[in-house]
Amino acid sequence: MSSKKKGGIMPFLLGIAAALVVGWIIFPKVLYVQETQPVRFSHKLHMEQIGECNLCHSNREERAYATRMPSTKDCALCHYTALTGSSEEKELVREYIKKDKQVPWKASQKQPDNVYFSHLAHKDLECRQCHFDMENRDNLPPKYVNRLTGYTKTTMKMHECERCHARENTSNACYVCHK
Amino acid sequence: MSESMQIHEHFQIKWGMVIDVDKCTGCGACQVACQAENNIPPSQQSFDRLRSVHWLYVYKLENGRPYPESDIAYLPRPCMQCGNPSCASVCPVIATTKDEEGGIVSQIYPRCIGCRYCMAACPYHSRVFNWFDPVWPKGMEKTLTPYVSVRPRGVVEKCTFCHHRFQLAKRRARAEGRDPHHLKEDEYIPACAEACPTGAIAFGDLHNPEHKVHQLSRSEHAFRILERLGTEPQVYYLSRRPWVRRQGDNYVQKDQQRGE
Amino acid sequence: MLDEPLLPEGVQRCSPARFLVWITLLVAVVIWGAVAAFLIFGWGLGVTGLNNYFGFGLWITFDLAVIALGAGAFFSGFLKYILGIDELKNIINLAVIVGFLCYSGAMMLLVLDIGQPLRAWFGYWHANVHSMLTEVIFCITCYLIVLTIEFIPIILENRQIHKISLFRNLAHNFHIVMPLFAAVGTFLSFFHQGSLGGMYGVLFGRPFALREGFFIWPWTFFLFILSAIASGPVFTMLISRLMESFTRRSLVPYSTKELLGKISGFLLCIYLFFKFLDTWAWATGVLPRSGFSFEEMFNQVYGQWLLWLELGLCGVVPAIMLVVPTLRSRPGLLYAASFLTCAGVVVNRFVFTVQTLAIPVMPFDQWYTYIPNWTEWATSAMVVSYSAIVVSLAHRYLPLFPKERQLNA
Repeated sequence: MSSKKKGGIMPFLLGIAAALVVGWIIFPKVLYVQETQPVRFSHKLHMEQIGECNLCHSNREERAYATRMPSTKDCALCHYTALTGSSEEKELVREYIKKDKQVPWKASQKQPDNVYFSHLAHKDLECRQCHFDMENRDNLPPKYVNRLTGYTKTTMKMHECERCHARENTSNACYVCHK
Repeated sequence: MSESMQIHEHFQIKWGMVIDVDKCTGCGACQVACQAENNIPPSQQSFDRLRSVHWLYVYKLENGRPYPESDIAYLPRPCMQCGNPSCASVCPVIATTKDEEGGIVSQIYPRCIGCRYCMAACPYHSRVFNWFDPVWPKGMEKTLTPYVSVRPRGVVEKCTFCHHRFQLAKRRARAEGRDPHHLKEDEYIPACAEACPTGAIAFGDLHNPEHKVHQLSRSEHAFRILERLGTEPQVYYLSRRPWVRRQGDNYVQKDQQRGE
Repeated sequence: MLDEPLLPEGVQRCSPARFLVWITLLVAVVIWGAVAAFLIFGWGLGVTGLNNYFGFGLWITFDLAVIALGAGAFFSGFLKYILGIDELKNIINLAVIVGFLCYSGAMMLLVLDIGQPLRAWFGYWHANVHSMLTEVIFCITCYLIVLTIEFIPIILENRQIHKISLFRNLAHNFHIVMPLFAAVGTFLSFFHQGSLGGMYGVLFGRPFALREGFFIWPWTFFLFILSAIASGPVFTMLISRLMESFTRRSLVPYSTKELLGKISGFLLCIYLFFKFLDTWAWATGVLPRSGFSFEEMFNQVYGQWLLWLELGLCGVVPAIMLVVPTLRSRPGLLYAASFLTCAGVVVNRFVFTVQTLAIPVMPFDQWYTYIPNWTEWATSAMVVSYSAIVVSLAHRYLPLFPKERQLNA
């Protein structure tokens, strides 16, 4: 066959390299659409000031176990007026707190519609076991949404739930989590 | 039936229903409550039971005798949550299982490929298919139950004993510091049982002597539908009328005495 | 002729114009089916005649029937390559093509039939090993690949393609490994033919279909294999006869057809022996145990005539016609018997699919009748038409029948 003489092994290697670039770098970029958070927020700073998650993330039904995004009212407890000189804080006060408008936070670990999750059932775990060390982050992670499925990139996957359930000797029956 | 077809799984809790056929007036409140609770969209085809989506269906039974002996009965039929489900083992993609504590047969919509083999397997016609996309009249989507996942077209669905209410009841028990696996009587009941105006539908843990279904299911008037096929339903029926009990199963000439 | 250089050497074919008219007719049918398919994909399965009682209907009947009849491919391959019956080389190419068409056609209808075709791969990824259907999904997809591999060397035999040394060598290598694929095909095919039967036999909620069995396999598992290999060879032979009447040329020697008839006849006898035994055991065992009488399994629409048609007119009658040498030596009787055999299998697949679902199992339920609507007919016709197109093209451009020149000399 003639192709052997022409290019040798180079076209083959280039092809593999191109395929890897497409598969590892370009495709994931194209697959996910990135959404930035409306307001800069430092969990690290707030943890230093407050020291607990539940003050802002509490939920009545779940009896004080964090399940929701804080509302503007939670922010207003401290930020009724700007506390620092930061322009981001001023914007928060001006655009949301004064207007009593909710901040459209982008939840990047939201479970899909067919999953039922109770934080209460997982209250013995550390927050950071699932929420990637949020308390030490100085900024909010951007939200990556899969264009095909609509799921976020950082949503906990079923196999991750299953692995922990198996380790903890908890049931992995479908209806334990699905609805 | 060969051994391999049977699922022998024993649960601590066995959610069951005992429906008193003699108390049922056939009003259909259970059906309506079920539709509303479980996000079943209203449909043009809802008059056609071969095409409509329904989890619970009220059958009309007749004794076939001339007046004055003629008699009728109404029999609400949810999913039987069979102890030995004919549907679960046939599903090629594990979209339906009986593995959770309580024994409710699950149906996971995003897993279902819509082959309808489970529908062919179920003798109770408890399973229905989404023939079209669901459409809610404008504004009605606001009435959707948030704890019940909506289904796209092309998947099979069925009664889940309002399983989301079980999940919520467990959460409530946890919040109050109680064992979520020892729910009190009526702490978890499906929408149909709640809606029934005559109290014909009792619901609870068949294994738990504190729950009234435990006693009711052991009544001499209790029967299950198609018991002879070996499906082991978790739904019991009560009737003091022998002809009604006899319609719970099929009998040939030589077993005339059965079911009376 | 315009396409003269593409035709096999030394054979006569109709004029390109005539061929084009024929193909156009077939394409028109395909378009009709494509319109129906478009409606189904666009609006959902609600546009078909299927419903909550008849989740399986014309499509599944069609699939099971063509998969049974397509068994001619694996069984002829098995007889030729494994058992070494050389006479079958006269028809083996056609058997492969017919098998390929039956399976690929069934696959097209399955894509329409399942509610979520994009999730079809779940059958592999989330397989439930307890389901007979999982096994069917595994085997028919794998076997379709085997059939494709078996089809390729036949295409490479085209006069122009064969001139290219790469393809010539490729075809040669394919022929060398063909016994291996015949063996793989036999294995896969045996299992899914059986599993298709097993699918019904395990339905313990449906006394009409329920069967006892051996280990995990209900008797229908074995009966479906037997009925498939009994009807497959004569189906291939009937297709060759059909091609002969369309082209007005002899393609396959009568001795080969007779041999296929003989093979089918004997297998049909074995099948019927067990089928009668099974029917008897079902009527006296499974039914009374479930609380049903034999009569309750039939109504005015789905009557006992279906059973007697299947077992008598399309069972015992063709079996006798095929095994008695003096009868099978007469072409008219051979073809009639072959047709009846195939019809019998179709009736069998039909009753297992539709009648099973029509019977009320709950005593207070009622009989329902299933009537497929035009979308189901159109898509089924599309598959038949697609098959006819492929067979027509293959006949025109590929040397399918080694004896064709000799027979028409």
